[in-house]
Amino acid sequence: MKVDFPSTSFFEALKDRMAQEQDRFTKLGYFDTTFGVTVVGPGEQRRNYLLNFEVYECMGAREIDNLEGEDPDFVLEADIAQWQDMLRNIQSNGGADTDHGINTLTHFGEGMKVIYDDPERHDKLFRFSESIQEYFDLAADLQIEYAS
Amino acid sequence: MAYFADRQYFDDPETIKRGTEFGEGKLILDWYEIENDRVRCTPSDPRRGLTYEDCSKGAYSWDLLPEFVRHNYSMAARGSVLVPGLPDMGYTENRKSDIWADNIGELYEESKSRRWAPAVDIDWKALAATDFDPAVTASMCQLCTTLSEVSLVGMEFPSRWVYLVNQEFLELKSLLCAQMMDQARAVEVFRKRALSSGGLKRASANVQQALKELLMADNYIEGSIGINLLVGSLLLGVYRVAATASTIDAHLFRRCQQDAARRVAYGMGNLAYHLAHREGRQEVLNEYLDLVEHCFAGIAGATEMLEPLIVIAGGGTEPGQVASGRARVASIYRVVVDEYLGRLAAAGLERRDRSRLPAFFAAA
Repeated sequence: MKVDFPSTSFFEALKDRMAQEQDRFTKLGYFDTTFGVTVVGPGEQRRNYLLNFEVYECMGAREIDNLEGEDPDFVLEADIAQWQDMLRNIQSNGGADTDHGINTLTHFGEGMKVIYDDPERHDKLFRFSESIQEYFDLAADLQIEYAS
Repeated sequence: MAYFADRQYFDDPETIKRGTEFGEGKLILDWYEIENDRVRCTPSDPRRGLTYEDCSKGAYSWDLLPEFVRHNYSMAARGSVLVPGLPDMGYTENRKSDIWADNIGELYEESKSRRWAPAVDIDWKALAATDFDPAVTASMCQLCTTLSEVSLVGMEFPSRWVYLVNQEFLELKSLLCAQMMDQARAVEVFRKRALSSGGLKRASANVQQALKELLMADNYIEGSIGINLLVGSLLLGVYRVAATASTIDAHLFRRCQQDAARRVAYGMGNLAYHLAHREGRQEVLNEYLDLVEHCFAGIAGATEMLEPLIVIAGGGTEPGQVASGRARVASIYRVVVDEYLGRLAAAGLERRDRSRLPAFFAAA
């Protein structure tokens, strides 16, 4: 089944994959964070998603108008081309290569911004960095329909 | 031997009498009737099992820990009924606001849950098959040699203090042991990463001098800020660069990053708790950091740390690669300094206009 990116169904598909891969995520350990994903489209149009992780599971993934009212730990924000490039790379390699991992995209160059208010909660990006990357890597075998 | 128990049990009449009675099947059972707070702790979330937080109930709660522990210097479990004759263990860390943090229970459970094993969780075979630029291979060996030194001190800081912390703070003692295990794992993985690719390189006098200054802090809270926040913040940046060397290194250094981030989280929690409960400490700690923040520059700027990072970040030693690597490392160092000062400020210690670090790294 094809899923559109960006869409709630895309993140719900990752949530379902995560449930199917429960052993893998249980081995990685507790994964307690709520973070946002912002996809900036043409004309600065923003689509925001709130992802909630608890213990070993993704508890919810939903699209919302404004992330500020939701108080996420941090927000990963990039334009749609950057997200699509990352996902295509994940699909070609079965997981992100070093140039397309969240680590590289958020810390080198302008590819992806990390937005946060509270340094302690921002550090959850580091405390759960392997789980976060493995979550996005679950897109490797999704059939994704990219918005033009 | 430096200490002798208060009796010689082989010759103690009471011990011999009890032994004889037990042999005859006579039980005293005076412990059975002890009146103590009765609780029945259960997991609040079955997925996590029974956590320390679930057990922080009634008379056993960490919320009841006093600011000054005056009643128990023994190894008696917190909440147990104390009896005469318990030995004084000589604990020196008996003041809650010096050592406590509100996230200790959470971080201890998280550290156990997110444990990993370098021997099997890193794909060493795939690493051996990865085609690295020879300069990157050599740089990774040097970087891991240096990181081994940093990790050893990360292990030695909690080990220096864990015995001295009063047993009443048992969750903190547990967390300090978990930190030692985290750092033992770091020592292990950096050694294995280097020895799987050619071996260790050179020790760093600058790194070690700076680390020793931080490790030898006069008191716990200053050492905690120095090791957990100052060095921990730097490591979070160093690991970000090292993770770009290969996909295997990305897995390896992300896991190291997780372990370091828990130390940083405890350091923040410790500082925040300290400042929230102690008036007038901001200036004292600011003066301490005025003295020791140069150690950050000593570690970050050491040849054995900086140059391998530049080569790894740039992908080699060609002029263009070096220029690219320099730009990346300079950028990440500035981010790391900003994050470090942001963490201090969030914990209640504002020194963004006072620290020499931003100017030092802006000039780099």
